[in-house]
Amino acid sequence: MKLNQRGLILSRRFVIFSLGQALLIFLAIFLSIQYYGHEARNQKESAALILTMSRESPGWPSDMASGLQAACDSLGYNLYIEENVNIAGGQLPDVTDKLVQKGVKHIVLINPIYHNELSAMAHRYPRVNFYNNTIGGTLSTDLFNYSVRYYEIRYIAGVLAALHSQTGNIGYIAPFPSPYTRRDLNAFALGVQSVRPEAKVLVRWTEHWVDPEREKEAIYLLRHRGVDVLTYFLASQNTAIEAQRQELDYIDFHQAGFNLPSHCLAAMETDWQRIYTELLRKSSNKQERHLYWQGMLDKVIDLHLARNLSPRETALTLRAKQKIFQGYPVFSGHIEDKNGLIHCREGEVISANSLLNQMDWLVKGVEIIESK
Amino acid sequence: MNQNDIKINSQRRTAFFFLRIVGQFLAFLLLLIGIGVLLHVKINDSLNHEVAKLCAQQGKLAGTVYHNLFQEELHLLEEESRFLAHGNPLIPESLNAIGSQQDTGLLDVQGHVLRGAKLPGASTAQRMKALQGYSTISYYPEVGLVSMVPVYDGPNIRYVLYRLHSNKELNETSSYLHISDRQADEDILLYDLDSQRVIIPFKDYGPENRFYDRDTKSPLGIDRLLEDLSASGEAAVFSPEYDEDYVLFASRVPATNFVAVGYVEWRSVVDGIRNIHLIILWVFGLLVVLFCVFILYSFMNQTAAAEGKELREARDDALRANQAKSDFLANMSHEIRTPLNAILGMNEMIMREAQGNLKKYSFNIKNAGEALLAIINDVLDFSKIESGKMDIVSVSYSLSSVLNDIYTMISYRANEKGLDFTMDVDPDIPDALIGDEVRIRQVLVNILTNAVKYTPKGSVRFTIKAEYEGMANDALELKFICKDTGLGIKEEDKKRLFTKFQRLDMKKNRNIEGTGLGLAITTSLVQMMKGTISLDSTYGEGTTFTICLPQKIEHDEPIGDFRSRIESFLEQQETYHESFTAPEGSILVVDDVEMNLVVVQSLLEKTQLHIDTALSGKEALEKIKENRYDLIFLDHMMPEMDGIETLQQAKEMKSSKNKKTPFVALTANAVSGVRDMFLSKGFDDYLAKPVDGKTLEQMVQKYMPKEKIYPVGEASEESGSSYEGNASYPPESSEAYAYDNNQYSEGQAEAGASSAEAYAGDADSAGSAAASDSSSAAAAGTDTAAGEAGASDAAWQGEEQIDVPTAMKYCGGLEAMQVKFLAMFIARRKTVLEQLEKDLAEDNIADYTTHIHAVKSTSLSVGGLKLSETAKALEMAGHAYQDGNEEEKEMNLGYIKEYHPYVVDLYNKLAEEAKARFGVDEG
Repeated sequence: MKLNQRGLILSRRFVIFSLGQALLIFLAIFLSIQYYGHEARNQKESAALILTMSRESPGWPSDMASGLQAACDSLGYNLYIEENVNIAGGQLPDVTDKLVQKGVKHIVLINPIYHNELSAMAHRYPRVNFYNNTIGGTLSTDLFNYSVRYYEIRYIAGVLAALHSQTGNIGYIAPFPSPYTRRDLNAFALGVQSVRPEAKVLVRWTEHWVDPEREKEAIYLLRHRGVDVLTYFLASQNTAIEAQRQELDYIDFHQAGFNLPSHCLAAMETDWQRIYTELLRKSSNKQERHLYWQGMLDKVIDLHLARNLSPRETALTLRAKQKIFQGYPVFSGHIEDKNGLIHCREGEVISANSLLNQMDWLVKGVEIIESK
Repeated sequence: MNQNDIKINSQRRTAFFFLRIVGQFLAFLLLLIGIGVLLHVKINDSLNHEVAKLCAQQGKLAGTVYHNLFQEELHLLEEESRFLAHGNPLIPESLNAIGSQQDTGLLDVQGHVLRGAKLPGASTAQRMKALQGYSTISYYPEVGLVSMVPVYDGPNIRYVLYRLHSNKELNETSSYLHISDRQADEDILLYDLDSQRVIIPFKDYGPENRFYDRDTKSPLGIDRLLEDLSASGEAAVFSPEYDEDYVLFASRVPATNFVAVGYVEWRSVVDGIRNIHLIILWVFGLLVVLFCVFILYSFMNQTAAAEGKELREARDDALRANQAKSDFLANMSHEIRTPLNAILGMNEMIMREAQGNLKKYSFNIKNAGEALLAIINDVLDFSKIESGKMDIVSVSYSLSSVLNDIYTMISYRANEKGLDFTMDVDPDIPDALIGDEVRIRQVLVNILTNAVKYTPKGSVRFTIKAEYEGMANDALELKFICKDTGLGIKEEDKKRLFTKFQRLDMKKNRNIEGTGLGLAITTSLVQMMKGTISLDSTYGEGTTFTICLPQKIEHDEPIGDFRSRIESFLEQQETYHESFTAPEGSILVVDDVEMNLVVVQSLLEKTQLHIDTALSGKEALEKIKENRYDLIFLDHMMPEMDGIETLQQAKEMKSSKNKKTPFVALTANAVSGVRDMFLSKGFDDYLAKPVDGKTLEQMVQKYMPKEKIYPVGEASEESGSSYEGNASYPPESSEAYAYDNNQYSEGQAEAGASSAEAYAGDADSAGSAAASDSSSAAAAGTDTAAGEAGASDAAWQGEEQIDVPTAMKYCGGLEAMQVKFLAMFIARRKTVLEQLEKDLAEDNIADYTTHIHAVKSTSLSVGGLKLSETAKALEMAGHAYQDGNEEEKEMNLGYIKEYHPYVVDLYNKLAEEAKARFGVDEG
């Protein structure tokens, strides 16, 4: 009997051992089958963002980076961010090669300045989609050119600035005259004039997208000319910060957060996530247009108004917004430049081509401030 | 545990084993099935995924088709707008030119309809896009599909041109926008994301269609497709939740807010891939079958292994049982042999004194006892073989000597039975061979004894040949052929012949005694010597045994004419006397008993050998160191340093002059296996004590360098007569030779023999048996020297202590020497007895044993049989005392103390008798 018990224990042990073995084998096979299937199927698409500065830089870099991140998250893409890439120093090809080797299918850039190199890259990697912020233009058909119709928002901002200004002198800081800076400036001026035809828009060119010193100087000059409301078109938010510091009312070109600073009348909000999501989704079909120029109708931009505006300011600004939504083109009706040249008659709308390429004039009532 | 329990247990074990195997098999099968199912699911999954991917591509294609259609439409409209721009400012007229179609309209930049159908408010966004410069196409459920392009006036936009496809038109299958019906195996419709309505249905799309979801009033699975589309440009779903046979797919139409939704039959997509799927499943199925076969095979192996294990266990049990049996037999035989020797010894005494019927009875006892002893020897031998204790020890030997012995033994027996025994020996066989002489002798004696035993009349013919074929240069194969005219062996019995305990034809042979072990032992021995044994027999006519044994050749010198040698040998035997002198020879004899030394000296006196003696191992070593000897006899049992130790020290001695000197052990305990023991300890040979003259001489002759030996021939005639007595115990001369032969005295060689000599050499009883043998000869009143001695016996009236024939044997038949020995023995009485008393008083049993041992052998050499026996008993008790535990010690000590007075008494009586019979005085 003793022997039998021992035998029983041994057999039980043997059975447990066998079952354990079978289970392990099963598990191994199961996992490997699962793994192979998994790997084949769940290959994530990857996108990359190339920045010439840190992703934390306030203004476009941080707005676009976080917007792209959110877009990639919603689409289930991986996102690689390459920061502080010295594109002027010729680093773009190396960085691109590295990213393509990683399997990146979408490469996003945010400055229009490296046009030629980028086209070459796009040509070299036809299966990779390159996206560049071209501020309204089409740089190359090898790329997806994307930008935002900020001029629509400028028009509304102009309305608000004109309503808010006591002096009727409204400041505008931009880097240099070009079709797209003039376009925004003209739209702003049209907005101003739509409520205060006599008001002046004083422009100061800083010659750089980012230059805190010159921006500071520009603010000083504009103030000196009686400007009491300011807006700008620059890559960084320095101007807004400086204006706030100097207690000058301003309309921010970049996102300013949920609670606007005390001197901020309004801030332009760009829904970069929506822009990039749409961009990445549509680009999967090569037949899509290679120019994305989205605006208020596409719900990618808005003017976020401060709470402390007067009811009149708020009401009239919202009405202007409404007008745009109801189909009012900003560049329509009678438009005359400083030299008295008429660019648009009643019942006409300036064409997109003219807006993009032929904006070499400034609306009547815009004054350029030169340094003395 | 009874038989039933065992049976139940065995059944239970079998059932358990079976269950285990079935369980294992099922486990593996389940595992395989699990893997199979998993594989199937996975393949299906992958397949469906691929199908979905394919269908998504198909959807993309459909999207592209729509896109192209729309682009074409817009392109046409743009052409028209350019025409209008050229017509500026005569717009209405220009419009008329293109506006023959009812569905074309014109808007100004504020959205006022200048011409054409009114558009819903929702079209503002589309107009705005047109004002931004885009040509677009949108759907409004109220009116239908509207394509819209800007109309330029110089660089600026002046109007917006549009074209409307009414819902009615879209539903017509003839519309060019209807692409679905151009596809045979798929149904495609166009869906608007904004209004969530179907723009262009496929034919038959409606509430009755399988792809119409009545609950949501939308295309089947559209929600799921749109959800998937949010992450990518195209999507496809294949799920029984929607449709079991059809794959649903959708793709955005580029540059619009439309989605092309399609349904395609699964089968039509996967037709080719399905085959691959089936092939994989087939192969897997085959693998499963193969695996099952493999597993079954390995289970069978396992079963076999388990059975093998049981068999092995059973075999081990059987082997253990067999071992136990062998051990039991060996022990039992040994235990029986001792008292049997005593019985036979006593019987000899009775035979000597008895008269008439009593003598006859005791003679019967003798016969029966001897038969019994032979059987026991057989059994002992057999158990030795079975337990593997039997070794083959190859030594150089003389074939002629072996054949001589056999001839003398068998011819005597054959003569007794009236058979004709002839022996043919090939004269060219080399005489000096190397092999196990003892075992060869045993084998041949067995075969021949059997032949004689089972041949009632006729002849036994023994032929010896040598074969060289296939042997090495220094080897040959001896062929012994034994042919008799006996009973023969039946065909069916031949197979059983060599099995143990088998006796054939019991009916006919019932009066022939035997254990049935003889041939089994013979076969085993032959096999151990790497030989073969074969049999050819015709029942009723006779049997021929052929034994082939490979042997090595030591010398090529041929054996010569054996017959004449036998004859001369027999002659020589009859006229035996000391055969040599060796005046230059020098030997050393070591024994702690002085008398033994004297015996040896006396026995070898005539050979003129120089004989040195030593009384202890120590003394011997000194002598060995100083002198060079040709031969050294060394006693085994000595106090302080025994023979083996002395030998070892002598061999280790660096400055010894006796490096090559042969050592012969002297022992009174010539039990079985003692030869091997001595050989293994480094001795060259051994001699049983008490030594007899002839054996001693032969030993000297054997080991003494040949150049120192001078044959004496006629020269020693004067002493010859005294030897004659020893050699002429008629008719037992051959027997005498048999036990005189030292090699033979190992005992069981003559397992099959039933005569006295078979056990005469048996070590345990060497002394007593030999003595009784001789004494029986003496008692028979034959004309010998012993007989003469017996004449003086008459004066002695008391119990006879001194057996004269025994004594004569140990002193080469010389009366003078016998008397001399006796005198010495008597002279030592006082010293010996005092020593024994002293040992006993001191409880020094070790020394007592050694001393009583000396008494045992010395008393035997003077014919003191009783004293010797008693001393032997005491010696054994002494040994038992030394080896035993406390209880045994006490018992044995008691025994020694009780019987010691008998020794004293017997010694004294012997002294008295010596004085009375031989006039030997202690003084």
